[in-house]
Amino acid sequence: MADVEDLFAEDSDGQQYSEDDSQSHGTRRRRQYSDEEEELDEVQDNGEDDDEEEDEDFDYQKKGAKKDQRRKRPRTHNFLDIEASVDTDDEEDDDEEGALGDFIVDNEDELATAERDALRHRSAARPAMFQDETLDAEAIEAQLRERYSGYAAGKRGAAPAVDTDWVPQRLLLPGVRDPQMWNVRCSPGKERDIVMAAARRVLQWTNSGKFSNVFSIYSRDGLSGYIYVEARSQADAQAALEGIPGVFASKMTLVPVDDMVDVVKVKTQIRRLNAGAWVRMRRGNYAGDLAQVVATIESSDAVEVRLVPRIDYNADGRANRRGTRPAPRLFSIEEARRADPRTLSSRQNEILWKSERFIGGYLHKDVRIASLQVDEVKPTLEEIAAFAAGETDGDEQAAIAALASQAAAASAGGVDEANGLTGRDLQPGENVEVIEGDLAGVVGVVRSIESNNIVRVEPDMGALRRGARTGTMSFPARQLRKRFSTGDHVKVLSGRHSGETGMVLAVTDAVATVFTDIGGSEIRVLTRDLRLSSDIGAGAADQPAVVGLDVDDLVYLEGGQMGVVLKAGRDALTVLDDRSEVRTLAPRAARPARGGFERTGVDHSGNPIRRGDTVREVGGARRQGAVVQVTRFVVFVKTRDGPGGGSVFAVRTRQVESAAARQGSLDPYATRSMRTGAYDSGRGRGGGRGGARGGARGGRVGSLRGGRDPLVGKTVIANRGPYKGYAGIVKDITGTLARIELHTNARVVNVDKDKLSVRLPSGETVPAGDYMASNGAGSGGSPRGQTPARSNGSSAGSSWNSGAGNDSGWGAPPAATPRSGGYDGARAQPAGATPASQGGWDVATPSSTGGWDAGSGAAGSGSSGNWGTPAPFTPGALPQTPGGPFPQTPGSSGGFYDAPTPGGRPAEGGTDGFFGWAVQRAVVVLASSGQRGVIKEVAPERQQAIVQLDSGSTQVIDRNSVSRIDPRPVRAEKRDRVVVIRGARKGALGTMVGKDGAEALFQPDGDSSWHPEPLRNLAIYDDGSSSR
Amino acid sequence: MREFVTKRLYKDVEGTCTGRYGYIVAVVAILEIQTGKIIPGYGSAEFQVKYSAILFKPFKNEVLDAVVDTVNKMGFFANAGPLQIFVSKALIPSDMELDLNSNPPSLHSNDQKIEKGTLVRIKIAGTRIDATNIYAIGTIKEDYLGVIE
Repeated sequence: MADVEDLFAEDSDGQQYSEDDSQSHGTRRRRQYSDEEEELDEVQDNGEDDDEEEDEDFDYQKKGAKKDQRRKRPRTHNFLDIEASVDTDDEEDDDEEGALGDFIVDNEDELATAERDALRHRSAARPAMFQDETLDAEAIEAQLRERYSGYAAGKRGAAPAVDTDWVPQRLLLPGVRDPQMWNVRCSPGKERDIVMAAARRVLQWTNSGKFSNVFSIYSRDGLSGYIYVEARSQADAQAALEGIPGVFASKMTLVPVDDMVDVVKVKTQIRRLNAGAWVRMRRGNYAGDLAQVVATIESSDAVEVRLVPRIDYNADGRANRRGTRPAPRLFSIEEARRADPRTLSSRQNEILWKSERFIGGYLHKDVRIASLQVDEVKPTLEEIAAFAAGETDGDEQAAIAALASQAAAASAGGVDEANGLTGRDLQPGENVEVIEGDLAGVVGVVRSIESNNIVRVEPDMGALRRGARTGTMSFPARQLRKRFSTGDHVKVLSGRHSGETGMVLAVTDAVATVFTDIGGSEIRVLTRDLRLSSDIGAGAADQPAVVGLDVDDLVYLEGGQMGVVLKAGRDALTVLDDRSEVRTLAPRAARPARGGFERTGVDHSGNPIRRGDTVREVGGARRQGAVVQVTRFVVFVKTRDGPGGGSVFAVRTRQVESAAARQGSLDPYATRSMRTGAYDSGRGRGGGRGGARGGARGGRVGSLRGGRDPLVGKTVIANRGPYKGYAGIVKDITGTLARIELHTNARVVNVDKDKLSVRLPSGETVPAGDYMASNGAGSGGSPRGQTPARSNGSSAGSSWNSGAGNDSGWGAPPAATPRSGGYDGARAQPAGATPASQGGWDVATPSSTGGWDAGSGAAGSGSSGNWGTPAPFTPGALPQTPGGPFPQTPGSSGGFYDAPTPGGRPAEGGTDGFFGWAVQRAVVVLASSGQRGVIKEVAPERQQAIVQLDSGSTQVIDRNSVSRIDPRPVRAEKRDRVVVIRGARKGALGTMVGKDGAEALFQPDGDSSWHPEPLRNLAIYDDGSSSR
Repeated sequence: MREFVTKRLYKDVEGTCTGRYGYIVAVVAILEIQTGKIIPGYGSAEFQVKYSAILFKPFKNEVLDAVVDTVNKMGFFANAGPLQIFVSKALIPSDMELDLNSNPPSLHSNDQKIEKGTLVRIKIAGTRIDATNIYAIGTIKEDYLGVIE
């Protein structure tokens, strides 16, 4: 107060103080009267007013509450006091004159008096104007009229146009001259109360003749926690709100002028929800749940919705534990009665329980629209189906269809894009049908989609086409529905069946029945979620929910049951349990059955059943199919009927008969089969070559029980048949068939073993037969039964039998010319011999590939005693042509060497290999004597070689002496001239340019590039130029 | 050699199904056998053979006769030669009732009965063509379709 007084003291001498003075000092007081003041003055004052006000406010806060109060009151009472005095005669003149200075004639004494008076006679002073008995009613009226007419025009900053009572709306937009708008925080939910209280206060002021600078106070429904005050200054706004509970008047922000209009703008687009529309709950126990609007409640922002209740009947009043909420289930009176009978009551068809209302099992709730999600609801068919419960089974579909179209209708009536199509669901080129409006029934093709969900459609209909307008027509997306006809191949885009494909069987309204490609079942999908598609998807199975769980996998279910996965979806597994019942469960409810072992079962006649076997029911429907999974008691069988895979059923193992067993089963696990006598018949290959094999097998079963087929787990390439050229991993061996998981598309196929080559880690390939032979030989030295059996005639078997153990026995009789039957036999025969005969390694190798020097030497020299197994073709012709038309030939032969030979002699060090690798001019060292020499001549086919020793003498090596002399290649060093003695480049000459571990870098002659080559494949080459 | 290729062609091609041409029912004539080419890496040879063959490719809206194979709760499967056609319940006249308890399961109306082995006339409502197979769904819900007397 002091400063103000000082100011006035300064001015006290001059009644006619200048305009400047009034601006800077008299403002506050003037403001009190300013209603009648000239607008010019007002305008000039404005800017500085604010500054001063703020300064003062600052002071108020500093000086504390008491002072604050004291400060404030005088202001108002000053006003009142003076206002009262305005009514006195002498001052009334001033008033009428409208002169500025006259009001502020008061000196400080007068001010002080007024202040004191105000404090004392506050209540009495208020209705001052009316208390004044000197004025009659007319005078008062005139006074008021004068005052308020000026008020309206002056305050709004526009000159009061006398003869225009209409002002264009846009000119009424607020500007800087207009009162400001303040945004004030308050406690949420009390906005209306506060507004009413403040309004009452302001009204009171006005009634009391005091002019408030507060023009409006309001709150917005959508904006809780804030109210707006339109006032001249922050102080005015604060004054209006002060003391009202719930207002945080200190948190006041100025609304920028530009935003003021938006604050009061009323959105003309009022969301109307029609009964039947689908909405989603935003929060609470039902957050995310689909609800259907039952009725809109007039003049409120709430609607009545129905929901599938989630009730924990046994909840004992305590709040639900976080994160768990009961599954949605229709209301059950029984359970409610059991849980809490006291709160249960019913009237008409309603049931009240725990102050909640249930009709027909659904929970009916009044919900504010603000807490509902109205846009992008996209109910799935399953959710809609939940609202169709209670109908009988047959009617269910109809009910769903009705609900779906009802929702569509509701959406058409009001809520944009809430339930129906949106532009996003459509793509150009899709067939659509107009379902409402003047053009309902028009069918057309989407041409383009514009923003705002407007779709341009080119109508198909003849009449529309022929008309003048042949172009496109625009429709809101919600007026459209996708159109499919029976037989269309479609893909499901979203929802539970997302990703599945199938053919449309029927379409009723918005629901299509689709026959899926995979699994061959019928699903019902909203047409909205469909799109024409020609590709085939497994659907949900594409993305298995549980890592590692795939269709046909064996799973443990609760209660010790087992089952196989029929469909692995993202949020549901369809499982066939061991009672042959199909169940849908949460992925977590099934535990994958793992184990490195292979499960087997025992069939009706005691034969083993393994995966992939063909079985037939004994008795019953005599269904037949392939075994998908086996457990100890139950076998899961997939029938072959039906397109796209057929169906799976479960049956007890004892009730099926294995088709494989009928042909005679031989299985390493099948100890039982010994009793059945199915034993000596070949494993699925008839018993023609019985004897020898039987023996062999006996040995094997005895000693190697549980051994795995060496091919399992190996990478193989099919070299014949429909899968020729495909590479894959052997998963299992059944008889002559290998189950191979292809690298290309993760499919498992059955391929005859004979048609396979094993790809070795080195990248080389060996025919599978050889591979097995070599490995079988290697592991334990006991010949595998299959090996001899692979030869073409029983003679081979017998030859083996007789030959086992002694070298001479190898005199493969000319009768045993297995290779005459093709190279299959040829390669197998010596391979079988491997363990028994020294040298067998070599023999096996060349004959298997048909391109081998040493081998062919052995095999080809039909005349040379024991080894004579004349080859029908002359493989010897080939070895010199590496990289020729049969590049695989040396490759696989080399591969044979590389094959792991755990039990065998190391091929490298073995002398047996000598004729296999010996090439002319290769430098060798004779391990027997340590002498070094150069191969002067070599005749692999005769198994003879002449070595020119460094000492000058020559050494003849032949079949008999080779093991004694034991020549080995001399390992090359960097920059040596080398010759390749094994592998794909066999015979190539070149230079070794470097070494990297066991790999050498080899530069062939005439080639500038380097090739890695295993070191052991290289030998020093003596081209004669260097003297040794 | 020629004989081998011919035999091989019959064996490999007859009875198969290609998405492009449909089922190859029988090879009628071999028009040309080109010189074989050895495939690098495998030692086998490839011969290009031109031949003419009888094909069977089902088209939408084609009407054909088929033999019912199985009847189940979704409808029935029928075979028209190599082609299996599924007729859904939705595409069977509504007066036909499903009787799964009969042996064999059957669909029957007052005067017609569809069970395994019944001859039916089906209109193909849609086909799905894989690279190696053709699936079709059919309808008997139209005039002159259904059981052939």
